[in-house]
Amino acid sequence: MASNGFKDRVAIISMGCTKFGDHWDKSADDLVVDAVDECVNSLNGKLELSNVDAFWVGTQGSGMAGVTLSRPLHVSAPVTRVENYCATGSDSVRNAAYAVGSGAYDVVMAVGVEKLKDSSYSGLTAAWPPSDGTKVDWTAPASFSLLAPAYAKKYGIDEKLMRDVLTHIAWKNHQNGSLNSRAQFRKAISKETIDRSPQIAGQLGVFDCSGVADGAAAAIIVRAEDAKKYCDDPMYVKALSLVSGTGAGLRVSDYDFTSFPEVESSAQEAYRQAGISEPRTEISFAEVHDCFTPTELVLMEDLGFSARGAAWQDVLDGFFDLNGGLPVNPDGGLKSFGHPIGASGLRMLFECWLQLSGKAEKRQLDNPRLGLTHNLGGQPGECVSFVSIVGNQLG
Amino acid sequence: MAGIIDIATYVPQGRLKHAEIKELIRTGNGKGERSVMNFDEDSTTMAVEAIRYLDKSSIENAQSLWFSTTSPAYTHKSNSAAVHAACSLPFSISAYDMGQSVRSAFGAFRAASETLGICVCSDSWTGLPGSDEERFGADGSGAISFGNDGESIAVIRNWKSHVIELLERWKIPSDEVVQTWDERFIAEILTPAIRDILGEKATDPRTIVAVSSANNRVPSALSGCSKVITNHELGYFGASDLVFKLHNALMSSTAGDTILLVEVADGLELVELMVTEKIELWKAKVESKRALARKTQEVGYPDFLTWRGRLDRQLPRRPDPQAPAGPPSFRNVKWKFGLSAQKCNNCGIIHTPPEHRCRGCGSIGNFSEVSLADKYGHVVTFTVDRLAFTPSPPMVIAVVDFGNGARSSFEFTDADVSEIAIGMQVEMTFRLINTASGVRNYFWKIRPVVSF
Repeated sequence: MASNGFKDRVAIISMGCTKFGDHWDKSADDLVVDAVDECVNSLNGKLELSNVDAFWVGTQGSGMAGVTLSRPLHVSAPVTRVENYCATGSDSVRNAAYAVGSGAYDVVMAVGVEKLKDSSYSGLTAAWPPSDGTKVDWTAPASFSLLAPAYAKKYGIDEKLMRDVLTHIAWKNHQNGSLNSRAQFRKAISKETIDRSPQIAGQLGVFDCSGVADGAAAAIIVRAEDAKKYCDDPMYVKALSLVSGTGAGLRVSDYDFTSFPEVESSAQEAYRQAGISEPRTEISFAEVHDCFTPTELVLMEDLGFSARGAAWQDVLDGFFDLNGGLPVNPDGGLKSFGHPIGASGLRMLFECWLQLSGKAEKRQLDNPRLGLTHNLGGQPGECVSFVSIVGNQLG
Repeated sequence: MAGIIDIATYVPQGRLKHAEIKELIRTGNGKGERSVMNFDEDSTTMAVEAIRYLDKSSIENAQSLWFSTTSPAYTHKSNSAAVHAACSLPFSISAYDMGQSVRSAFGAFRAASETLGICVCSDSWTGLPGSDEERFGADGSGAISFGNDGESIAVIRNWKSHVIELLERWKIPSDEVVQTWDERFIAEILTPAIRDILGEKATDPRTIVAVSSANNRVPSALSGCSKVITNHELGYFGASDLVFKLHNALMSSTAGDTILLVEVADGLELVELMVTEKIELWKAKVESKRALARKTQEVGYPDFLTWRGRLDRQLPRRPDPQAPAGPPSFRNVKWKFGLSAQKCNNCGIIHTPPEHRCRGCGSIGNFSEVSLADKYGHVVTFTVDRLAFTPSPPMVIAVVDFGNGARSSFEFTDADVSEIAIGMQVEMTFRLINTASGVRNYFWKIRPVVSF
C-alpha cells in the first residue's frame, strides 16, 4: 500500500488564512469567504474565483456536503466535503492535489474551516453514530495523556524531568506564537505558569493542551508547469501521505503508547516520495500536530527527527526552537492557534507558504528549502496521520 | 424437596456515617452508618454482583432466574433479562421480575426453589433527607441458588402464608417518596400473627428464627424464641433483606438445625428449612472469602444526595452522553452484557469486541466465545480525566491487558485514585455507565483486585 509518488507534479500558487480565535462575530460561512478572498486577492487579478474548476472543503462538523462552500461563495461547481478527524484540512489538500495532478482539472482549491465557538463546551466534541455504548468516552486530553507516563517509564525519565520537557514544548510554541499576528494566543507564557497550570487529564495541565478556536484557510493548486503563470514563488508539493490505522493499539497487547505507528509509516512514505533519507538535516522546518505537548515529543521520534528515546533531550537542548537546528511549529502550532479542526492542516501549510516565500516576518527562518506538515487525528492506538513535504524549488 | 445450594450477599463499599447526616441537617443521634451503592450501581448491577459470588456450577445448572427489587432500574421492561445477560445465562433459561414490593422477594425465593433456579434480590432502600428510611435503610443484594436436596446446605420443609392488606409502606409509582404508617400500628396488629405462624418450634433450642421487616418494632414480637437473628448492623436491605437474614442464620447454624425464615410485609410469609451436614463446607468457604472482603469507602452526604437525585450540581461544559441504541446493543449483547470476547479458531487472536473479519489471519466466521468477565487484567497505562462527564469526578480510564493478547479500555470504579498504578491487577464489575435519554447504559468497569 504505497503511493507512486507525486513529487513536483503540483504547486500551491496562493494561500489565505484567517486569524484563528474567538470569532464571536463570524459564522463558518464568513470565515470561508474571508480565507478564500485573501487567497484569490493575493494573486492580483491573475486568477478569479470563477477560474477555479473544482473545490474540496474540509470540515469536521461545521457543515455538511459541498454546499458548506458553494453556498457562501455563490459558486456552482464540483465541491467535495472532506472529513478525516483532525487531519481533515490536510486531506482536502491531498484530494484536491490529486485531482489537478491527474489532469482532470487545471485549477483547484482546497479550503478548511471550523466554527467551534458557537458551542460553549470545553474541549472538542463530535457527533457519533448510534452505538452500543460500550466504547470508553475518552476526551482528547485523556487519550493523549497516556503518552507521557508511558514514554517516561520506557526511557527512565523522572516526573520532574518529564515536566521540564513538556513545559519546554509549550513554552517554545507560545514563544513562536507571540510573533504571529494570526495566532489565537499571542502572549509568551513563562515556564513557571505552564508548570503550575490547572490539571486537565493525567499529567497534562491547561498549557499542555491546544485551545479551541474558529478559523479557516484556503489554497489554490495548479500543475507545477503552470505555476509560474500565476506567481513568482510557488510552493511545490514533494510528498503527500496519509495512513489510517487499524486500531490495533487499543485492542491487541503489543502497543506501548510511546509512539504512533501510523505517523511513523506515513512519514516513511512521505520521505520515500520526496527522496529524503535524513529528515533531521534535510527538512528545513516542520509544522506538526502539537494537540498536546507529549504528542509533539513523540512525533519528533516518529517523524525521524530524533532517535528513539532521544527526543526529550533534543527538546531540552532547544533543537526544535525557532533558532534551533530544526525549528518545529515556527508559527506557534496548535498551542498558539487553537485547533479549528478542518482548518488546522491548511494553517500548517500556510506557515510553509510564508516561510518558503520569505514572508514570515519576525519568525522568518534563514533560507528554508523544505517544509514538512504533519496532521494527526484520533488517539494513540487508533488514528489517522498525514504528512506533506513542500519546497520552494523544483527537483 | 428442593434445597439451597449456595447463597451470597453483596454490600457496596460505600458507607454513609449517620454523623454526616446529623451534622448537615441535624437529624438522628449520629451513631452508626449505612451502606451506599456507588453512583454507577443500581438494583440491576448489584443483582449481577451477588450472582457472580455464587458457586459457578450452581449458576450453570440453574433452570430459572427470579429477580426481586422495590427499586427497579426499568418498569415495563424486564430487569431480570439484563441480569440474565450479564451472567451469560443461556437464552433458554427463563428470567422473571418479581415486582416492586418487598413481599415479592419471598415470591422470588419460593418460585426459584420450586423451579431449581436462582433467586436474586437487590435493593436500594432510602427516603427523603432526614427520614428514618434514609438512616436505617441500606443498599445491597443477595442471591440464592437452589437444587435437589441431596446437594443442599439447607432443605426446604414447609411454607406458611398469612396475607393481610395493610397500609404499612406504600408509594404511587409516579410519587417520589415512600409513605409509612405509624410503626406501632403494624407491630401491634402483627405480633399475634407472627407468634402464631412461628408456632412452638420457635422455642426449640435447635431452631433459629430470622425475621425480615422494615418495622423496627417487630423484633419485640420475637421474645420467647430461643435464637433470633438480629438486624444487620448496616440497616434494612429492602427486598434483599430476606437473603441477608437467611445468610446470617445459616452462618450461625449447624447440621440438624431448623431455620424459620419470615418476611413481614403485607402480612407474613414463612419458610422452614432444615440445615444439612454440607453447611460446614459452605461456612468455611464464606469465612475464607470474608478475609478478602473489599475495604469500605466513606461517602460524603453531599455525594449521597447528588447520586440519589436530591441535590442538583453544576455539570461540566460537555455534551450530554448519548444513549445506547437498540440494534447495536442487540447485535453486541454478548460483549456489552456478558463481556464475551471472540477468539479466532484459526490463529487464536482475541477480538475485543468481536469483529467480522479476523484481525490476525483474515478468516471470517470461524470464531468461538471467550469470556473476560471472570478474568483478571493488568493496567497497561491509565489517565485521570478531569474534563469528562461523570457524576463522580474525576473519571479514571485505563487500558487493560488480559494476558491472552486481549486488550481493551475501561473506566475504573470503586478505586482510590492514589492507589492506581501501571501494572496493577484489576477485575471486572458490571456497572451503569450512564443514563441518557431515559436509557440505562450498562457495561463493564474495572476495579482493583482485593489484595491477598
